[in-house]
Amino acid sequence: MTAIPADRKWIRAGRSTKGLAGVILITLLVLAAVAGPLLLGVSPYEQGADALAGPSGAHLLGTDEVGRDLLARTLYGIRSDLLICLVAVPLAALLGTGLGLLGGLTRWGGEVIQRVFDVLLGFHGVILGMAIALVISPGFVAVVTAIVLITVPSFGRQARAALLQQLSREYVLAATTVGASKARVLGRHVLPNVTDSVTALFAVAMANAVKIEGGLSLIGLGIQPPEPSLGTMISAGSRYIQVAPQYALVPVLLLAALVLGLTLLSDAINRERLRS
Amino acid sequence: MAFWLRKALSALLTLWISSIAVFGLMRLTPGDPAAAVAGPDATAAQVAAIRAELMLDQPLLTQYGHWIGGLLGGDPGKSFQYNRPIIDLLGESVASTVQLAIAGIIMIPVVGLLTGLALVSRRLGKAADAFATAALSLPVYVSAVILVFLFAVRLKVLPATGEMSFLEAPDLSVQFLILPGIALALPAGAVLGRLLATEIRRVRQEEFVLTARAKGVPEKRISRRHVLPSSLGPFVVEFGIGIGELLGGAVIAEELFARNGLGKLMLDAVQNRDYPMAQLLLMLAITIAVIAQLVTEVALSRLDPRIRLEAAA
Repeated sequence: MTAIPADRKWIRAGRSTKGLAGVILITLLVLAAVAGPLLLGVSPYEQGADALAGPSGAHLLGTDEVGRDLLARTLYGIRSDLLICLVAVPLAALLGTGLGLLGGLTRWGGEVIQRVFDVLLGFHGVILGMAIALVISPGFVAVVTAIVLITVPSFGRQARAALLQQLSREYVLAATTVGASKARVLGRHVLPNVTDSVTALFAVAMANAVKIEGGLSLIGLGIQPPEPSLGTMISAGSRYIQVAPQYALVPVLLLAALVLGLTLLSDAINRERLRS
Repeated sequence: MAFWLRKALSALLTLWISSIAVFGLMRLTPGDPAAAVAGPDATAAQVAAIRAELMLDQPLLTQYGHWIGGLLGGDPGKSFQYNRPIIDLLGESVASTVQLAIAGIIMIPVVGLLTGLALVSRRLGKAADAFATAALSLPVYVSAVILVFLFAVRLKVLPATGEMSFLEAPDLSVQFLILPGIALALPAGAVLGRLLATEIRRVRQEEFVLTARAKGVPEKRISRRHVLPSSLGPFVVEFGIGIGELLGGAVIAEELFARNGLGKLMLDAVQNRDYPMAQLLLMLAITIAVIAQLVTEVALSRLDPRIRLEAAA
């Protein structure tokens, strides 16, 4: 059983139909978020005379209730969702993995950390977000905090399980027998293997982060207007679904595509991991 | 110690830690919570009155004891924004959320049955697989908006938002419940559908039953004791999670479908910094989730003795 380098595993994951579909969806959305606003050149904040106008040459998706261009707001919305994920998920992965490893090494610390994880897991994402809104006023920081707190336990448990599994392996015993220090065994032998199982969680956590942002913004506790995000657009747009259905539908479908792309990718990565 | 007793004690510990966290939230708020509650136009005397009523001038331990005593004694106090007993407000909102939850629970087997049958059919199999993947991974609000667009805006067969009391107008109230019910039931329904499909495929092959039969196990016992319990596990888990996430899902569904239930009450309380009500509803949400988790774990250990034995080891 030779360990395949992590990067090649990602490439392999992209070879299956579902994995490829996931990669294509994510790439398209990232391109739209990065290049879209530049190509369009329309401000997402500039208000116009035409409120809730239908799609036209000037406004490809129409306008919102104060005459802002919906396409520009949607593209900036994807951008803010991606930004939130890219800040929150690595933070949660780092924090969760650290706590999980710590918990796997010390008995008492492990008990306490497990208990805290249990409490956090008892919260529904939206409920935890509401609790946080009581302390931090709603906005970017509050959403990132909510996502981190919800995501930390899954990374922590994964890291702890992987660590305990690796510690009982023969190669660890062998390394200890030939006189390697505890730190060396952990750093050189165990950690690389733990990292592998944690990367697989990354895509799942990203998908969850997108869902949480949407949910919190939907109930007014996430990103605050006039900042655009997919969640705030779904929230505002659903009020005008009878007169301007594209207002809510386009962000909903884009959010769905982002979540599905990440889910398909994580499924493919997991299958690759199980095979090797 | 018995498995369920250990799990129950662990659940109580989780609840206790959560209660400290929820209690601590208001104290963590930057600035003076009494001033935040009173609003920008309040006089100093009003702020002082609110501080006394919130017991913020008392030692922390006294405050916590008073709060927990009130919760356990069934008297959680008054809501600030409405200046009415919280229990009365809960009573007015609980029916709406219970109706929504029942609608969701009824829809789960409906969605599950249809998905399962489509999965094993030759013509619909691929499409049903894509549908199940989407239903499993997408959040409630995505399916809700799509359902409203299809059935309320395009086909105009169901109302988009609003609600009616089931007791006053059963037929109308059901119309308002169908779309949110389906939206809430989709994830759990898709899991049930996948399980059903696996089960059907297994029964079609029957080889594994042959082994048991060769050992002389009676037919009825094979399906009742071996096949059914071992395949129910994931469904029990999904059901438990579903109940646990009820209030969280209700907050979103009630906002989108303009229903006045517990979720709306909770959101109101958080947005208006109505601490006593927000704290009570937070504890309620956590308690429901913890109990659902406990029941799930105990039910699972009944179905699969390995869980019980592993935990004891």
